[in-house]
Amino acid sequence: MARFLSRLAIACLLVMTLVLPAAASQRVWVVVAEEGGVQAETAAVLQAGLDGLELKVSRRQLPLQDSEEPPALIVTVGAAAFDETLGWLAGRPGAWERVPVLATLLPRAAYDARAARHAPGIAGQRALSAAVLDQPLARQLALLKRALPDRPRVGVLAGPQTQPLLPALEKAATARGLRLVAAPVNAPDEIYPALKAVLESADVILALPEPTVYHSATLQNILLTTYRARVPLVAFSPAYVKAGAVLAVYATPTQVARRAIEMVRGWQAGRGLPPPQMSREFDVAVNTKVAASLGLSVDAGAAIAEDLRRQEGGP
Amino acid sequence: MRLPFRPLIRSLCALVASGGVLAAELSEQDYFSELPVVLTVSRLAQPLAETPGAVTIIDREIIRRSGAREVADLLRLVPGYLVSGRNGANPSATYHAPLDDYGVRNLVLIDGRPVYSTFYIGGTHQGMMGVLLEDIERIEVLRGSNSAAYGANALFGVINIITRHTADTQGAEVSVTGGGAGVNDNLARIGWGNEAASFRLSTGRRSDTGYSNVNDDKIVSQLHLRGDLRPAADNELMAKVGVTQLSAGEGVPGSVGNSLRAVYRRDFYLQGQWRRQLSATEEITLSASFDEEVFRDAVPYALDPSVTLDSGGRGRRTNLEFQHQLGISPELRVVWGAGYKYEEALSPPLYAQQAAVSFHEERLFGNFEWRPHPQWLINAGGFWGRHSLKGGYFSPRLMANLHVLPDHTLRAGVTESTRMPTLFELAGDVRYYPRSTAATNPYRWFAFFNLPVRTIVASGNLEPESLYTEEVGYFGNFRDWRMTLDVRGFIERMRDSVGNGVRTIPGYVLPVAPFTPIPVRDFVSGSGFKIRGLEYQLRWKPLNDTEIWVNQTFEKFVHDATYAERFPPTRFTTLALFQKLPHDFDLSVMWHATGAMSYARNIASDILPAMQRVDLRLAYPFRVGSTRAEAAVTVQAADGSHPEYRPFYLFDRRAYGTLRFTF
Repeated sequence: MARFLSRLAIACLLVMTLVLPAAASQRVWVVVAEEGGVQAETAAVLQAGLDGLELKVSRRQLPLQDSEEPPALIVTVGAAAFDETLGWLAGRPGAWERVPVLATLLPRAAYDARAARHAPGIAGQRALSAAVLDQPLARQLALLKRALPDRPRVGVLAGPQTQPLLPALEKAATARGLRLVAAPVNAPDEIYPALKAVLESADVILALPEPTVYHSATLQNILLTTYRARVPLVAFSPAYVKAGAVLAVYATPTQVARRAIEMVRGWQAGRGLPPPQMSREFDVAVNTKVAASLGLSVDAGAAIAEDLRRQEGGP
Repeated sequence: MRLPFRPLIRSLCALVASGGVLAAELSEQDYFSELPVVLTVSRLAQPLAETPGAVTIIDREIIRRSGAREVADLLRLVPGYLVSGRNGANPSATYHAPLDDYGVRNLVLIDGRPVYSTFYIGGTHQGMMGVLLEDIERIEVLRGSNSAAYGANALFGVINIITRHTADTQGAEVSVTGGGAGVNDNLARIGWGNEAASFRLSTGRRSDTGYSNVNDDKIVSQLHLRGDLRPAADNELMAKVGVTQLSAGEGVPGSVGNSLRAVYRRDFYLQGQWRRQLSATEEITLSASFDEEVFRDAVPYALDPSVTLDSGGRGRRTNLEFQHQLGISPELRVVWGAGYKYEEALSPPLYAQQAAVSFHEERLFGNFEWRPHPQWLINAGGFWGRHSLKGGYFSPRLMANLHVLPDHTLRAGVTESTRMPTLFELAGDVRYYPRSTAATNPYRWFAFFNLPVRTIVASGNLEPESLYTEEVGYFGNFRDWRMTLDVRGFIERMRDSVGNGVRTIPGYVLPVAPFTPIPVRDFVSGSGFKIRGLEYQLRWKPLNDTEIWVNQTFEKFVHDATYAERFPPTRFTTLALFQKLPHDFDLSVMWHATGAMSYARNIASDILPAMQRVDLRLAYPFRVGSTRAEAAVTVQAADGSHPEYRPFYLFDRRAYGTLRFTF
């Protein structure tokens, strides 16, 4: 609780009060935990995309005044804003108990973990959903097939959240002529032995967003080890690509915001909030220096993304 | 009493571990924030299309699949390298021209530490034995002069042996090898530690009986300890210590001064390297190493048993280096540094003094890597050194790589390399004191007057050797065919090649009438020569399980009238097939063919005829529970005996089996 309050005190809160023309009584709050950066970019796209709405910027500190009318929907930007909003809503009585929350710009794992953490405090009938940063497995496998066609043995470090996905991943991989080499990781000290085991037969490592395995503290060792084995790491974020991964398919903040706007429109039209959604749009990041050093010829990210979109039947 | 504490420790561990997991929740930060760049430019190996010269890489997998037992054997897989050995206990490799028996004109580095001999000829062949093949990650050979980056000694290129990171050799490994020609090798290795600090202790012994007709049985034993520490994400520390002992047969039956015996050598080293990442584009490295070699070789002089021909001694070298890599802009990278080395040799019989002889060298080097246009890469650099006995030298290089097409690169450049004379070439003074005045002793008058017999007296009047190289090259990557082709055309002009001279010394005369001056051996800067040639290396993976290597070298050796040393072949070829077979069997076939040449001396009886050699290896990996294992059979010279070094030194067909377990 103390951590939550102190974070709120530091965090800048941008509250946009959006009055939707279609339903004049419906107000939407957009909660941003940090000023600037990708959060601001997302908020700006949300604001522009839900046009015709009136924006009110406020720098008030939470708790918001209880006297205020609850909005019809809260949209949070980033994992911290989602966490703090749920924390604030927890135990808030009356009309607040049914305010739905749409999280954006966060990994699915973060959404699930935070929703579960606050579940005892927030009312069961509240609708929760998210526009997450994760990418469909099929798209990631298509990326491997397109960008690294000579590397069919795909290594995966499967943490607790990835393990249930393995059968589906294996099936999808086999369908594309790829072979899955997975090793389970249930604790931090299993990462390294698992990586070594996978590197014995894999010729590319696919990093899936999995907090037990991939975070800033483990990234360095994983990148150095895979590089020494001359096996490229295909990651899930442009930040990892900058750090040394060869490739990633990812959704930009703008693309995630656009997906969230679609979800808000659906909710507005009375269809409620769908389950968490991944972005339809995506980009591909390439680290050309690391690729060249590994002797790989990887096309430009834009060209790969173009081909993948065509495969998915997009524009 | 111990038991009750265990649950407490366990729960503490669990607390720490769960804390780690909680702190490790993903957020959008993992997608979009500025994470530190891990694979910085200085950590990345240069793509082969961007190196300032032709590079051949032999990696761990090929080392294992080759079945080789010596680093020198692996160099057969590098175009331009001639591999033989003046006997079976002294395998050596030279690039293009067999100018010496010891690999004096190559620089051999093990994890950045030079391993040439300090106290005698400056050979690298024995230092090269001081690494276990199982510990090697890869061998990078920059073919052709590289003094501009590494200073004197890198005259005919650099053999850069990189051992495995200790984080990659956790657990244990044991292997035994045995078979014909006395082959009996063992290895044991254990690795432990975690991401922040990891260690490896490895020990091995290998022995064989060398060539037939030659007294060259050999036992090499070694022990190495390496530690890698990462106290912070931007700091790395590597430290190594090790010792290698060699016991080898030497001599010729019935020889007066080179009778049958065993020689002994021990190398000890201590090495440290600290790397610090200042930013994504800037890194500094501090390296220090200390080497000591002790050599024992004493043989009684047959005609005067009171005289022992001793060439033993002790050499020491201390090397310090600072290096700074800096990306000034995306188009311009700079590496510069400074170093100091101190070398000494202590050998009363070879230097005629009780004290050590020594020199030191201050060094400065720098290289610009400039990309004026996406298709062009210019490397310009130089190495300056000041030798305390021979003065300064400078080795420059200019190399341009043009990426004509994305996967096709042309390369052209010039470089001048230097080899500074060794301490023995500068100050060797070999004296023997005969004691017997018997009539059978040709040196009885020396004994009578208590005068030394002097055999080699270095005048020190010799110039550093220099090699001026012009080269053009091509590197092509035919991705659709899964093939790479590397071609190097070269003209190498050697000046002041150090050879044997004969001179007389004032006052050193026959002790009896007619008191004529006695000739002694000296080292002199003499002849020059030119090698013009072309070599290529083709690597092709026509199928997933098939890899084919073709290496060929064609060269023409043009020398001036005074050159009377050895001659390289005009053509030599290596073909290698690495094939994965059904049921996980693994087959390697290597065929080497070398044209006629002279390796020992350029006299008719020592001319080696054209020869071939076929090496085979068949391996089968399997598991015993969670233990990985491999059984392999290697046959070297499967096509029968062939001469090495001299026509009557025979390398016989030998077969040996290896069993390896990795825990």
